[in-house]
Amino acid sequence: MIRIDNLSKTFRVHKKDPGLRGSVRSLFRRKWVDKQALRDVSLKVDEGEIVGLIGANGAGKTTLVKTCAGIIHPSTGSVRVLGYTPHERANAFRRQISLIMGQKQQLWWDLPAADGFLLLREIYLIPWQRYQERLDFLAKTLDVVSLMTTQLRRLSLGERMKMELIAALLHGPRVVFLDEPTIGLDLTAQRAIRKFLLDYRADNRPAMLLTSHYMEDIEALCERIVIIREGQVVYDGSLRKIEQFAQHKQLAIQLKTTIVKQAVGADLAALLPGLASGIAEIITATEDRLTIRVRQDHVTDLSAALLRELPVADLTIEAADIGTIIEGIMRAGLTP
Amino acid sequence: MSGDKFGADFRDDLRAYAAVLRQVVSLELRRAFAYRVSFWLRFLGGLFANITVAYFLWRALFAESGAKIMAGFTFEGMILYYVLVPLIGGITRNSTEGSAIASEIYSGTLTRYLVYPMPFLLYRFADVMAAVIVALLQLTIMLSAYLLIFGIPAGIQLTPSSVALGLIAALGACFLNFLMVSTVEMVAFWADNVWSLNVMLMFSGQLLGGALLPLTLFPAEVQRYLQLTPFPYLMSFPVQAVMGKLSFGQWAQSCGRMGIWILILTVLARVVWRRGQRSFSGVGI
Repeated sequence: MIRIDNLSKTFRVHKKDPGLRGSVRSLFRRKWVDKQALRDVSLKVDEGEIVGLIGANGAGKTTLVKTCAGIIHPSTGSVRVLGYTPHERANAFRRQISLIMGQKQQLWWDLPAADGFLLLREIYLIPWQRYQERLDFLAKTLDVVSLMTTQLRRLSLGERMKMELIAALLHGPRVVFLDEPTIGLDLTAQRAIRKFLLDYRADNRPAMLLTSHYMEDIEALCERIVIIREGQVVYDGSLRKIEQFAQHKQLAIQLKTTIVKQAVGADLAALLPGLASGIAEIITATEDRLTIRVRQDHVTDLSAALLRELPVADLTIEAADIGTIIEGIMRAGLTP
Repeated sequence: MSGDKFGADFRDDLRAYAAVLRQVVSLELRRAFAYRVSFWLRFLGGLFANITVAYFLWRALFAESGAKIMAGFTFEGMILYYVLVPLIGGITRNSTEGSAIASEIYSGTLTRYLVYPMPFLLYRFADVMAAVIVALLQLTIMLSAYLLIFGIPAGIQLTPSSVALGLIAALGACFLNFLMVSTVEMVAFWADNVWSLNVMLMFSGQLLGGALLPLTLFPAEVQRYLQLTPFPYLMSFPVQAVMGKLSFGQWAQSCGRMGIWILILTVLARVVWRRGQRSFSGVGI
């Protein structure tokens, strides 16, 4: 349903030195810099699939979403959504997609949501009966029935976001783009929206492309993730499989007797003779308890050395959590 | 795509556009009436200030010169001109205020209109249509009141047919003004600030369009050149038509020229819109 081949996008932005002098100078001579937001991105999303787009701020996630929704023209490469070229913005295409942006208001600020929905009914040519059914269903599921006639700007952020979701899904889009749909929401609202999106997917099987900075969103909604770093796709695959890219594990040991308190950040090679240096460091330490970060490929060496050299009462090995692994990939790229 | 399918899509589009136009107009009307106190106060305040200034200024000018007729107007006719300027201006120039398009571009809210299956400028024009309906209401009330109290001044052929011709001219002018303002505001796709351009357009419209002074005050040579620009059609033309100052032939000729400008600006607005979108990033990447 979404097919992206070798997509690149370069923005031309002008640079201005700070202060009045900079402003005056930029009146006469503008400095332009090219900013490459996307480089050679290829991607496919199928029906019923929710793909999580992950990346640091400015990595290019939003640009990718906007390109797929037809707002931004690609510089090179091709994007096809539902068989259409998005930036041509055929009405038939736009009637089947939806874009939800957590940071941007789509509905009309000084009107009740109900008025906005009526306008959307006309825009999307939704027959009355279907409109009523869908609106009832969506409003009930998101628990906002009593708020329909309140001016939008008098609603809380979470309530507004729910209205935005209704607005975006009223016409039953086949492709949904979600750009940080839970940003700024409290935990209850976040959870409600996640559950709602899952239900919506089960019933309607749309293709969804989701960006979020919250790992909870990603873990709850996506089986597949795409990590973008500096405009490039560095990982495209199952969320679970990302664990194999963990570079470190964490070991916790409880000691039978106390030892001299170790310094945080110290290399364990100093404490354990025979262990190579630079593979394990201490994260926290008390007289009888240590947590250690160790390189994935040296977990067994370290465990053996610990059991041999120290009075170990208990030893646990924990995998790094997915958020930490992804953070590592976003920062440094993929180095399996 | 087969011909039938295309036809059906096209019909769908038209049906949606008409419905949206209706819906937005009704929405904007509701908004105008929701803030009715501020709305009527602003309108009456503006009208009153305009007429007071014109009254004292022209009374002094007529007295000083001793002339009975200036620029083709008697004193009473001149005052009627200044009564009509803001009333007709409500129809023709209501898209001048607000810089709505530029702010949609700067804040990135244009994004939502790009996702909707509907042309953005149609939505904006629906806003303008709502304002036109309100302005028509104001014109009817204020002009009837004025004529009932002061009567039709001598030498002015204000008749139902002159009003009808004037209103047709005003609706054309409204569309022309909408195109001019929209095109200038779309410069916001490239420039960081279009406010100054907007103000320039507004003042040119006022001075060269006849809102500050009747254009008949300008030398004949200047008037001839002005006719070739779009400005006189925004204000002077519909007001003169309402006042019965134009023969049917003159009216038709002006309509023709206005039509040519509408055509030119429609093409221009389209080109600017198409090119502008290419450089639109929707704020933030």
